[in-house]
Amino acid sequence: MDKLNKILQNVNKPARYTGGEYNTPKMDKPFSASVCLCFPDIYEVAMSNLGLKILYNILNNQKNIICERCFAPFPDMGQQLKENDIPLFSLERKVPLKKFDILGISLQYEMCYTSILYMMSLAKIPFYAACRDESYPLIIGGGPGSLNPEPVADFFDLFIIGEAEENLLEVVNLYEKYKKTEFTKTEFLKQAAKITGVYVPQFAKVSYFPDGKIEKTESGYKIQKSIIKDLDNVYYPVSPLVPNIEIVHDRNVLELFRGCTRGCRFCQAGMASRPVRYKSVRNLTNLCEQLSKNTGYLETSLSSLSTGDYPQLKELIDSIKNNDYCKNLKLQLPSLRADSFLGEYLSESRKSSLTFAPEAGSQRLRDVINKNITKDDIISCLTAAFEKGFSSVKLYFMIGLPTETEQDVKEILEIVNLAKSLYKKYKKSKKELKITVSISTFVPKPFTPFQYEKFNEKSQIERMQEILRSGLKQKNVSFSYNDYNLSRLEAVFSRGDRRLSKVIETAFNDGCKFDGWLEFFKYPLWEKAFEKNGLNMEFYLQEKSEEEILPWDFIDIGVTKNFLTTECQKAKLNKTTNNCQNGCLNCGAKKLGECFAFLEKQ
Amino acid sequence: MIIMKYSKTGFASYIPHLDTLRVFMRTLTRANIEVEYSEGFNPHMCLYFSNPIPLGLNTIAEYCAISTEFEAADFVKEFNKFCPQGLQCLKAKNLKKNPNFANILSVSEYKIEIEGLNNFSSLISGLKNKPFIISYNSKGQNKSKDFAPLIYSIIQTGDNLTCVFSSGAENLRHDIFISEILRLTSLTNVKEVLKTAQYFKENNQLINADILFEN
Repeated sequence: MDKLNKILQNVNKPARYTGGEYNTPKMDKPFSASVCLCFPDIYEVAMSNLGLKILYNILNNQKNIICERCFAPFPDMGQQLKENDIPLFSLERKVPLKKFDILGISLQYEMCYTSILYMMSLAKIPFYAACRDESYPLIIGGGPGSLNPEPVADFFDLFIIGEAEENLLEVVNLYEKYKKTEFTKTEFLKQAAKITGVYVPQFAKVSYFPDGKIEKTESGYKIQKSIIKDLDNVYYPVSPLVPNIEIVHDRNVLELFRGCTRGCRFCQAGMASRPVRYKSVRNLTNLCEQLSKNTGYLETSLSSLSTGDYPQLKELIDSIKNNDYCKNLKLQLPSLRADSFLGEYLSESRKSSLTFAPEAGSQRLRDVINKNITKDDIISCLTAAFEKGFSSVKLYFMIGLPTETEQDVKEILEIVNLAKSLYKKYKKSKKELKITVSISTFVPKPFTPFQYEKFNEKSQIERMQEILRSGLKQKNVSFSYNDYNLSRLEAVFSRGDRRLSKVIETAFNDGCKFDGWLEFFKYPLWEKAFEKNGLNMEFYLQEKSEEEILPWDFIDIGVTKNFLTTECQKAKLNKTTNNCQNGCLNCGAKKLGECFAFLEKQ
Repeated sequence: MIIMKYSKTGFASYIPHLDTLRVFMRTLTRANIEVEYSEGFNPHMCLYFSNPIPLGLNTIAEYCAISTEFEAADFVKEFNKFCPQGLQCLKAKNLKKNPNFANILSVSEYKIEIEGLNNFSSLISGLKNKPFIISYNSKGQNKSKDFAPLIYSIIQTGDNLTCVFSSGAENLRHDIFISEILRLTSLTNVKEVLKTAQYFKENNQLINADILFEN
C-alpha cells in the first residue's frame, strides 16, 4: 500500500486509481465468486458508462458475489506499475486482476482493442484464451463492440451478446457451481454456451477462401442476441457510485427506452437494439426520485437513442417536476432530433447551446441515409431555439456516405448560412451566434443497411474536408473533423474477422495503445502490423457482395438480413422508409420479444 | 452559518480542491442540509473553504464555512453519514458571521516522520535563524527562494518533526521542504506526513483555528 501511495504522488489525477466513492458496496462480505468489470479507457470515461453501473450493482447485490472495477491506467500510471512491478489491480480492494474468478471486459468501440491488451499485459494475463488454463480468470466480453467480436475473439473465453442484465449473472452462478468441482474450462464453456446470447469462440472454427473471404463458420450455430423482454421491471441501479472527481457525464442517468424506430441506415445502435421497449412514466419518476436522494446529483439526463421519440415525454417531464424530491433537478435531453425540439423544457438549463445532427447537407443524401429531416424541420427548430434565447448551436454531419457528391457536401455550408440568417432575424440577445460544425467520417457498420458499402479513399475524404474547411473559415464558426487514418482503422476492425487478432497483438507489442486518443495514435505501426501478418487493410474496406459470408453473420439480432438489404436498395433509389411508430415494417426484431414501437403518441 | 473542521485522509487526499467542493455539495444535498445558493446565472452553494492544499497531503485540520440555518449539533453526524470514505467532519458550530478562513488562516502545522532523521538533529536545529535557500520547480520553471522567514518553528523528537510554516499568501509547501531535507540528508524513507493544525495571527501570536469552535 505504501508503494501504491508513492506511485500515486507521481501520476496525473491519482484519484482515477483509488476508489473510495460514495455508495461503494460492502467489500468485506464473504463471497464465493469474484468478478472484476474492466473498461478499456480511463476512469472519467468508464464511470460515465451506464452498462457498467447496471452490471456492477446487479452483481454486488448478490449475497455470494463480489464485484469490483478496473479501468485502463493512463500511460503515466501504466509506466509506474511496470517499473515498480505492481500487477494491475481493482479499484475497491486493490486486488490483482489475476486473482479474480471472472473478468468482464466491455467492448465499446474498435479503437479500444489495444487498450484491452494493455490492461491484460499489466495484469500479467496471457492474451490468447487458448493459453489460459483454469488458474487464470475466465475472461468475458460484452458491450456494443461484441456485435462483431471476431477481431478479438481469440482473446476471450466467451462473449455475452446483447443485454447482459440477466445472462451475466447466470454465467457467474454457473461458474461458481463449477468452481466447487474439479472442472475443465471446456466443460464449463460447453454448459455456458447453452445460455442465450453466449458465444464461445473456440467452438466455432472459421475457414477462409484463398482471396480472404470467409468460406464457412463451423459448428453452424446461430447466436441469438439476448434481450430483456420487460424493460419496465428489470433491475435498475438507484444507488450508483458517485465519483469523487469530475467525469465526462457527471450526472444521474435515466434510461427511457431501448431500440429506435427511425431506421437511419448508417446507425448500428438503432438496428441492433430493437425491439423497442419503453419504461413507464411512473417507474421513471420513481427511479428519478431515488437516484436524486441517493446520489446528491442535481442534474439528470433523460437518455435513449432518440429522446424526442419517447411517447410520453411531456408527461414524464411534468411528472418529474411535480415530484417533491425532483422538482429542482436540471433535466438534460441529449439525442434530440431536429424535428422534435422541445424548447420549453430546455430554457431552464444553463446551457445556451443546442445540438442537432442533420448528418447530411442535402435532402437527397438525407433521404439516402433515411434521416427523415426536411429543410423546413431545420428552419423551424433553429427558429424556435433562437427565439428561446439560444445563441450557440452544434451541428453534426457525416462525410463519406454512400452516393455522396461534392454538391451534397457543399449544402452543409448552406445550412450553416441558413442558421446565421435565422439568428439575425430571431435572436433574443446581443450575443454573436456561435456555430460548431462537427464532421465525422462514415464507417460502414455490421447490422446496418450500409454494412456492404465501401469505406471511402483518403483523397475523397480529404477533398470533402477541405471544401468544408475553406467554406467554414468564418468568424464564430468552429469546425472539427476526424483523422482519416483513425477512421480507416476503425472501418477495418468494424467489419473485421478472426485473423485480425494477430495484427492487434503485433501492434500492441510494437507500442500501440489508447489508439482512440490522437496523441497516442501511431498509424505507421498499424500499417507495419498488417504487413508483418500478411494481411491487407484494403480487403476490409472494399465494398462487399451480398453473397459473401460476413464475420458477424452467425449472430441473430432480430432484424433480418433481408430487411437490411432491402433498405440498402431503397437507399440507392433515394427512397425513404417511414418511422415504424407509424406502422410495423416487419424488420424481424419482434421475434425476440414484443416491440412497442407503435405505442400511440398521446 | 455553520463552521466545520474536517479531515481528508487516506485515498481521499487525492481529491483535488475543486472536486472537493463538488463532493461537499453532493454530500450536503444527500444529507438534506439546506444551503444558501448564490444569485445570478450560475447559482452555486455558498461554501467558503480554507486555502487549497497540495494534492496527496493527508490533513486533519481543514475548515469550511457554510451558509445554512442547520443546527450544528446534528451537523457532524449527518455530514459523516453521507460523505465518502476518507472525508470526515470533526466539529461544527453555528456562527453568525463568516470568519473567512481563506483570509485569516495563514499558518499551518505539519507532522513529518522521516526514517533516520534522528541522526541529523544538528542539521535540523541548525536551520533556525539563518537563510534556508531551496531550489525547486514551479510550473515548469526552476526557482530559488529563501524560505527561512516562512518557518515559524521546527521541533524534532527522534525521527519526527513538528513544523509550523507560513501557508497563506506566502506559502512553504510541505513537499518542497521535505525534498530539501531528503536532499541534504540523503535519507529516502518518508514514513508519514500529516497536516495537523491551522493558525491565524492576532497581535503577533499564533492562535489555533479551533478556538472559533469554543464557546
